[in-house]
Amino acid sequence: MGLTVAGALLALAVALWVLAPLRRPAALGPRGEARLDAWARRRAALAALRDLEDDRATGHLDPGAYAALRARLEAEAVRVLRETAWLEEPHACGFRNPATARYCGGCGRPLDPC
Amino acid sequence: MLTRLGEVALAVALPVALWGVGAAVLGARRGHAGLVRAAERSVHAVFVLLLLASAALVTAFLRDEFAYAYVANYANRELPLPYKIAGLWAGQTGSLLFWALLLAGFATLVVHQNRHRHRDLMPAVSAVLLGVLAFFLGLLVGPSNPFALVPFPPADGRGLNPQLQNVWMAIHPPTLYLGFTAFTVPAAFAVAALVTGQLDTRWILVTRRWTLLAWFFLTCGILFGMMWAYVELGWGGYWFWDPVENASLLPWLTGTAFLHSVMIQEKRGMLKVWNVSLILATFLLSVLATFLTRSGLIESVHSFAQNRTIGTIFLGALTVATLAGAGLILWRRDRLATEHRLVSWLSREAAFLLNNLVFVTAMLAVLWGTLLPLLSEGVTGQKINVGPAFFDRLTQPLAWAMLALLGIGPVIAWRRASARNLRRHLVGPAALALALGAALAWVGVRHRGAWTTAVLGGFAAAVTLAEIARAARARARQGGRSLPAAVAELFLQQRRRYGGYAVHLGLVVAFWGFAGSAYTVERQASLRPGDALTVRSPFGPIYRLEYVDLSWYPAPNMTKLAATIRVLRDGRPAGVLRPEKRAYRQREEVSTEVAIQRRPLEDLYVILASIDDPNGVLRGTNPAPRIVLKALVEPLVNWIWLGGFLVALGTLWALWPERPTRRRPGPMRSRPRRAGARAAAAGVAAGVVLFGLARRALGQPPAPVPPAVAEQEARAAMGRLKSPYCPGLMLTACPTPQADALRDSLRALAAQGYRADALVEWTVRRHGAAVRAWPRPRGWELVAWLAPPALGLAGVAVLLGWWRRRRLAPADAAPPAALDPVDRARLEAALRDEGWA
Repeated sequence: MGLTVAGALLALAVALWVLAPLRRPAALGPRGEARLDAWARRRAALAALRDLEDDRATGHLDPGAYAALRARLEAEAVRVLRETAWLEEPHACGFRNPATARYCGGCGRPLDPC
Repeated sequence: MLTRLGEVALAVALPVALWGVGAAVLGARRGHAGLVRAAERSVHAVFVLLLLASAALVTAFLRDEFAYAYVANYANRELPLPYKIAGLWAGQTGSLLFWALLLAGFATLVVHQNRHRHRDLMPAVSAVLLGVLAFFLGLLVGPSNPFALVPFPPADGRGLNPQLQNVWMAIHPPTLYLGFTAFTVPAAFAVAALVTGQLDTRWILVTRRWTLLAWFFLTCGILFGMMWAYVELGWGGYWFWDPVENASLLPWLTGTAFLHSVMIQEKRGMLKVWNVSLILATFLLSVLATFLTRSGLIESVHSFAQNRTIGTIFLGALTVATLAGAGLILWRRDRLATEHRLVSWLSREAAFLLNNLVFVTAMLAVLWGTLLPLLSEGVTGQKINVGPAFFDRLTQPLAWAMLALLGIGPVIAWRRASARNLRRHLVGPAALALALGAALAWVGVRHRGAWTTAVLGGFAAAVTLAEIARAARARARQGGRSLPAAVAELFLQQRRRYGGYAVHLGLVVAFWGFAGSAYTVERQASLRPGDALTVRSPFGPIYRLEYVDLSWYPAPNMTKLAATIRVLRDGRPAGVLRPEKRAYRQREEVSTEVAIQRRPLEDLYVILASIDDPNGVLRGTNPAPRIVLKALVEPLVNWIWLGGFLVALGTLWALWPERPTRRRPGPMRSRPRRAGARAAAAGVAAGVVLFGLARRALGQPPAPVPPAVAEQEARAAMGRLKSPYCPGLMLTACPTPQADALRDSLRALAAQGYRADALVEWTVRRHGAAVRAWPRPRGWELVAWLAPPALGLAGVAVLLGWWRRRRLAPADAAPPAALDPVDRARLEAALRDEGWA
């Protein structure tokens, strides 16, 4: 009897918790993590250029291949820099935060993207 | 009460998982945020419920609740606490519960990490993860219930299999399972990318760390398994080519191929279909590994956990999943078109392609050998057995190809390598490797397999170290850094690349360790107290093992009989070893505990093979009985563990997030080429001379050492024979006295000049065809040999055909327009900000 009650309570608790979002759907859009994602994308694009330079310095690329890859990676990096330009903008309070910050160093609020 | 609640938790988890799959699919189709979020909550709920069920099962073990069949089968009252906890994964049903728990844990982590990102992919990711969980929960609630009761609970359980009562066995399965389950995450993202059509490199970037994490766990799991086999199985080996061992190697091979091929997609936008196929194959092979362990369809040393019903269900699920994956790829083939073509076979892309071909061929060869007994019996009615020698023969050339590519791949140029590029990077290391080969031949290394492995490993190590040195020198010249500082900076700033190089070096060290096993020396003798056994190490020292006495003492769960062996190395005392026999009271089984004396270059491995009158010892009527002592000297075996440690460390390093740096180095310059050319020329000259010496040395007939040759032939024959006395075990691993006698007979015949083939035929005539584990090259058995190379050649043909078609395809897309000054200034400022200008 005790086990039946405990089992029923467990099933009920799980059902209530799992089904709760159906009543009040939470926002699914990007939040604070978007800033870190943008920073990671930007770093990956720039790191590709750094790796390319290392490959050239250690003799892994002939001049033709280097020029072709450099042009492609530069274009990609510029596209990413444009898309993530909001990382460099100052917060509403006027404070300019580093790219990796999740909270404003000036007012303490979360740094959500505009 | 808690135990019963665990049973209820399992029953609740299944519908929750099924609901989650439906909610994720429906939520994605209708764009209903609430449904998608509910699906994600289902993942969390399933994890909590599985945690509850697992805690309940562990509690049942700790409380000795033998009313549960699983607990009664795998524990007893005297079992030490750590092994009671390890009981969770000691048998089939518990292992499946543990698999599901780990997967649910990873799924929860993925859902939490991505609760605000990649929202377009997450419904499909949740659906796949919950679908896999629902499958395992279905098994747990149905035919493989860990909470099944026995009608008449015994007073005590049967106890854990003695071979599993070992620290490595407590660690090995969880680590392996972590690897298997973690590969589900990148596979789920690949499916999500296919379903949503978002087939750019995003899914690869998102799952890069997950893939490395899975590979890390799988590598560690395999390594721990090898350590367990080495210390516990008591025959001196570490890899048995057992079906279950092979099963863990299969996803490792495809996972390794995937880790390399994604780099081509990232850099050149090529191999999109291949990458999706590889990660799905890796996931399916992980499930296949679980299937092979649990099905009981194939004889295995892991036969402590088998159930054919489960096997049939697994096979059905694998078939459905394979067809679904192939269907998705076909459906999205237009979005998986390559962005660039292969320009030259002398390029890094081509080296990576060949690397993939080698890994996949190795996987197919191992899979073929693993399933051959089953397939041959199904097709011809006659089972073709294969053993370690068969796998060694098939995989050795592939391992050599891997080592060669391990050297070439990281330094060959992208797109098209010039002759100068190849000369500059490869000639010096090749010359060094040949010098190593000559030195090995000079000191007496005559085993061609070991010699080739050592030389190719030397080549790969030299290339990798030269590459690190070259990059460090280039960096050091930029801003007056010291060379060590430059190396540290490289490793800190480019963790993925240099972590990868550490993995390569670790693999080379491990392969050198594998090569050392060709020179394992084994001696056996029947001894009375005061007698001694002598064994000579291939490195020169002579070990004298003096049998002092035999003692016995009771321990929890068992009685131990230990022989005291005094070791003398070149006449000097070198410690005491105590190999044991352990009699487990509850299971009425006897196991052998080896004693190992470890040194950097070799292990002295001592086995108490048998005791003449163990009952006399226990009763006190025969305190000094005759024993059979076996001793092995295992050269370089510790290099395998050291290499494995380096591989793990390198993977962790590559896995760790890079930190931003604020240093402002100057522009990088190429190193002066004249010095490189001089070094290469000197290397070539030295290489030519040393290669000549090595050829001369290898061409000489073998040294006249009859006992060593006889031992080699006898060991080769044993590697091709299953034991007629231990079902499923190879003759080398069978611990019975009859097997000892058969091995002695083979050695005696080998000493008379009989070759391995003749010894195998002699044994087959005496014990029947079932002991043959080496297919003959005729009739149906010929297929066993021909299929793997044919598959490899088919792969080459496909690659060549693909390349020819690519050559006819349009050239690379037109280069992008030059950057305008504003963009260039922005880019340069960003690079300066990161310290990479």
